[in-house]
Amino acid sequence: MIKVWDPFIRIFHWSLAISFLLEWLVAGSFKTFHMYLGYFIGFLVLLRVTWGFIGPKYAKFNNFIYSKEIIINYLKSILTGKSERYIGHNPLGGLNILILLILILSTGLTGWMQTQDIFWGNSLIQGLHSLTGNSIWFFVALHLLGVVFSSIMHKENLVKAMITGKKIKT
Amino acid sequence: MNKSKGLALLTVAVLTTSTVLGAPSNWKPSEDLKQLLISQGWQINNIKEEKGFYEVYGKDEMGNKVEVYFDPITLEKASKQPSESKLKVWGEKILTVFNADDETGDDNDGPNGDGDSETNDDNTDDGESNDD
Repeated sequence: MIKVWDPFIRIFHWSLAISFLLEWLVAGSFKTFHMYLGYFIGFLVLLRVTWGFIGPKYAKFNNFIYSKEIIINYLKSILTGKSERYIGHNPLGGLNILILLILILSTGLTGWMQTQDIFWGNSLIQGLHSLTGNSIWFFVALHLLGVVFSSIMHKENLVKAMITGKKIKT
Repeated sequence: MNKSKGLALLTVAVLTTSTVLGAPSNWKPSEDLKQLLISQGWQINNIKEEKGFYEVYGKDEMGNKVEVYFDPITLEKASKQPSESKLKVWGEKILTVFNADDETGDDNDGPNGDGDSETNDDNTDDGESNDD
């Protein structure tokens, strides 16, 4: 077994998953709670971004940000059913993580903007906030599909790996 | 040229639709509400039509940022917040199912569909943020 997901990554991952679900559920009614939970989520993601530069190997951005060619080749390899197994994020999964982090941060930004006097009640900012906020679900769905697909493809339990942090080394 | 013509047509279509569907004839114009609130010392940022209400964003006479719903016919403050989260909507649906024995099933489509009295959200969920 090899240690892949460090404790911070695991705590971050599950805190973010639960927080995002809750944040989406309370949106529209529990405004004060929504605001503070939003700040917490933004804080979590900013920590994760920092960790992407200073953290251990598999947490680093340079471990899971791949070139366009590699991502396209990986996508082709999935379609032919011969995708390579990655210990960390695969190229497509890594891209999805990056998109998720950007979407969450931008949703946090437009959320915060709405608390400022100049953007109070601003329809455009509200629209953007809903758009990016809801589109997170699309990439969460892709993330989950990827987890299920890769788990089946490589006969390993990736959900368990995100709990224990360990994966089989081959 | 064709593109801009199409865009113009689309704009007209959208504007027409929003005029027809957006503000039912018995609604007082939002401008009336705006003038009324300004005369009370408010500062208005935006007035939106939201779920059968006018949703006003602005600053009240004390200078506090507020988001308040107004009845579009009487221009009075709405007693209940119509904009609801998934948690509230689903929670109420689940409660309705559990209470189905006592009540005949009523669909609460409209914002005033159910007469449940509810406490103010902003006060109830602040319990955890204690400073000392």
